[in-house]
Amino acid sequence: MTNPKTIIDIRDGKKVFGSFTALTDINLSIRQGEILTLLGPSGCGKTTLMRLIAGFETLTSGTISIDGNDCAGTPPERRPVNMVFQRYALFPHLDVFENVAFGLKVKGLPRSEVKERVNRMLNIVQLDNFANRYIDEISGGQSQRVALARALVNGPKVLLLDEPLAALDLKIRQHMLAEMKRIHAETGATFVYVTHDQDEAMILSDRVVLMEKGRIVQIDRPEDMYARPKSLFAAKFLGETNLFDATVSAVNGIGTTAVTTAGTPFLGAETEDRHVSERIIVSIRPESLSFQGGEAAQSAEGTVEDVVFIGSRSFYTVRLDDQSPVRIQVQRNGHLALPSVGDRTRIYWDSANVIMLPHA
Amino acid sequence: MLLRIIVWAILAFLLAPLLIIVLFSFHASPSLSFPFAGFSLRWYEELFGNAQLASAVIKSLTIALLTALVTLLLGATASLAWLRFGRAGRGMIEALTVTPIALPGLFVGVSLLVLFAQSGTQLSTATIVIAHVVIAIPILIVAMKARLALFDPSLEEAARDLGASQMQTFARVTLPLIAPTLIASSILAFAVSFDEFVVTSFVAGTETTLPMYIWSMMRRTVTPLVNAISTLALFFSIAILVASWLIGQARRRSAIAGRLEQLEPLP
Amino acid sequence: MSLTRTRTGTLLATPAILYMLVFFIVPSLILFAYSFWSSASYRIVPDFQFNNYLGSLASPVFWKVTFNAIRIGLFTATVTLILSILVGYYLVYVSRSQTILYLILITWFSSYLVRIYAWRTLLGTNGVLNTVLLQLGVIDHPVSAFLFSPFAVTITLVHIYLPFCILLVVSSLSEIKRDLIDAARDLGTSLIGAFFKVIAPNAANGLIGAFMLTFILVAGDYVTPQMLGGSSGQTTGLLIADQFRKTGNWPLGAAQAFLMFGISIVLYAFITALGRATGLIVKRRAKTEREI
Repeated sequence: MTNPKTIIDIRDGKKVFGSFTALTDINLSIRQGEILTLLGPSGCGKTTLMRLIAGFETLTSGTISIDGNDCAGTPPERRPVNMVFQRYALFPHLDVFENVAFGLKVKGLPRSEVKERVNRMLNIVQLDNFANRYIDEISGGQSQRVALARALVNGPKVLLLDEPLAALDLKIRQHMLAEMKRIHAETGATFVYVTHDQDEAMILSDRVVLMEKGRIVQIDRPEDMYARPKSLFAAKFLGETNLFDATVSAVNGIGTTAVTTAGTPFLGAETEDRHVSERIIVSIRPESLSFQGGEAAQSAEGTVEDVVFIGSRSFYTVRLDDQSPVRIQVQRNGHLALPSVGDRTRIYWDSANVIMLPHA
Repeated sequence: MLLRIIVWAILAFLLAPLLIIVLFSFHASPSLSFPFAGFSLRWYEELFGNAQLASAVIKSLTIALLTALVTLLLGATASLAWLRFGRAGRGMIEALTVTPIALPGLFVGVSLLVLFAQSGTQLSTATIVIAHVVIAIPILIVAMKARLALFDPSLEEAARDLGASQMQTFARVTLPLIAPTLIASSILAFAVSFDEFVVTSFVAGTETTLPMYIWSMMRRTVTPLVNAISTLALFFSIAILVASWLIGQARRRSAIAGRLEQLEPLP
Repeated sequence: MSLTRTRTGTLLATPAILYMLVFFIVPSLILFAYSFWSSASYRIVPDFQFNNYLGSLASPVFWKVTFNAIRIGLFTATVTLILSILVGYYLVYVSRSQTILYLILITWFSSYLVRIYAWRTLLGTNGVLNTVLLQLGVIDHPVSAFLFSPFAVTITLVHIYLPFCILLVVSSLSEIKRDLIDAARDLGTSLIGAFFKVIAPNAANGLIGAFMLTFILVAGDYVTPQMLGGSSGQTTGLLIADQFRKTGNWPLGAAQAFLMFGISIVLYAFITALGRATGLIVKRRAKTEREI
């Protein structure tokens, strides 16, 4: 894992449909064996990017190379990648076995090899007993496994998955996520996974590529992207956060101080690239705020406006004395006294959790 | 419920005349009115020695078969094209191929007549087939449109992604999926051609198809002989319709058959 | 990819499009050209003159049969549409009976000539209708007026075109969800009220389409009037057909065909305007993104 090989390399990719620029400035290296997620809201270009890799679209400018070979002009059937389609696109006139065997058969492989490889793959996705079922006779979760098997049986260098769980209900979705990780581990294939669901991205990926309006805005490990978003968009898209318009008042060795327009100062740990009187946005996650704090913690006073209990956690809305509302998430445990609606309270945070973002 | 009664009354209105035709084809006497004088097969017997009728039937079957084949070929390629086109392309195919359904046969018939006259084409079996295809294609396209609307274009992409060339994709995925509807519609084309009279009467020249033979008999006499031919034609149409329906259902049944082989229950 | 896609599509569409261009569009254009030619003693001469049109418009016979065709057409189309709506409503919203649908399909595909022949034998002087009525004592001598009358023509045409019209109505009603009727009734309208306030406005285009299609096919049908209409049931279709079959004055027939075509368009515009004026057709705004 020290120096993983790059399996797909996209340089200065740009895709234009008529007068609409779907993708621009795309630079992305996909490493062998990783699960890489293309994450973003609908219309951000993630599906287009995947279809470019699969060969269903061609770049307006820039290059895509797969395993070191520039694949401009290579049609989808001659690319060493396979795709799991959003609604699976399983062939309704073929049974499960024939669906999985399709790719091997069109390549003209000997019958015995086709049979052996298909059966092995059906075993991996645990569908051995469903080989003779037609597609309209299996469940959504099973269709998903067939689609995975049909793509993976060809031994693709990269498996492309286009929102593969979107058509499943929540319970099966969680189960399939675990299955997907298992199948990934078992086959060792490289997965490129498109989704608009941040939870799926967080659970599944080694790296997340966050996209907005046809551009890549950040590439990071999921935990880093959550903890250190580089833009307002990234902070808002992944998880919940409190946002404040603020102006930088001091930059020194300890960190950067910014005062919100309502008047509350926040000290952040970062020191780089900020200058006094710069307008920024301060982001702080609800779980980074608490009702207890140590000596070093910063704090502000306010009044509890609302409490919502969700399982072991509680969500508080506190109106600070400067009138700005703040959301706080706390873990409930018995020995801690928590405030109630109407109570005066003080909230605390650490400078390490104060994220300062460029003004959009 | 009142509506139910009205609907069945309307159906009775549609079916009764046909049933009366069938009934009187078995009439023992040449009269076509009540009281019913008993059953007999004499009119059918009379038909079977009729050489003119036999040649008209053969002519009509030949024309219908050719019409169905040409319609199938043109319809299959147009359907594959349809899947590749956007809104504008589909609109163009539809405007060109469906319009004849909204025009009286008279219009189609006389316009083809002037075309053949102007180009010096001898009226023959070929001109009849050409004319029948013009009126059969709209029916096929309308039927295919409904099927193609349900066709998931990502199936073709999936096939390409799995390594199939464009031709392999057509042969292994697209055509097998649309084939039942395509064949069912071609059988309808066969039925339309077999029964066509109005357009045929303009472009047939000296050829005599079955409807034209029936027409000449109808004009000459009113006897149960015409009823007997009509009854046979009617049952032939119904048989074709049933065949077309069965083929349309073929895929469904193969799925059900597959289910029967697989005895373990769904989880 | 999308470019090759379109290119393959164009290639595949070519046979059908070419076929329809050569055997449908070109013939229609030639027919249109013919309508300006002239005919002298059974010979057709290329020309550019409007006499075929002007002559027809000035001819009392043309107007008489055209008026007859429009009257029969409108009456038949109206009756057919009303019956179709009843059956269509029943099939779409009350019972999705496959049996009824197949019975309708069977009548649609039963021979055109056989159906004309059926009515001819039913309505004849010695026909089933007369003999039954005689035996019931409703009439004391056979009514010859059943046959060779606008009544005979109309009832036969309704019989011929009803199945087709029902299928059109069913397909246009199918696009309107039952929920809409339920919602309207929940909000206090009667079933019939719901039809006029909810279904009709939404299905208006489809219903008017079915009406016009039936009208055009009926008004252009010449075999039925010939077999059942006698002299009083003559229509433009028969007149046109005779120009091609008997008189040999093709240019005149061509002109009359296009006049009939023009009259249909005027009628369509009139009916649409009438629908708008009575509020049955709601002018729709351009499709929003949501609908796409």
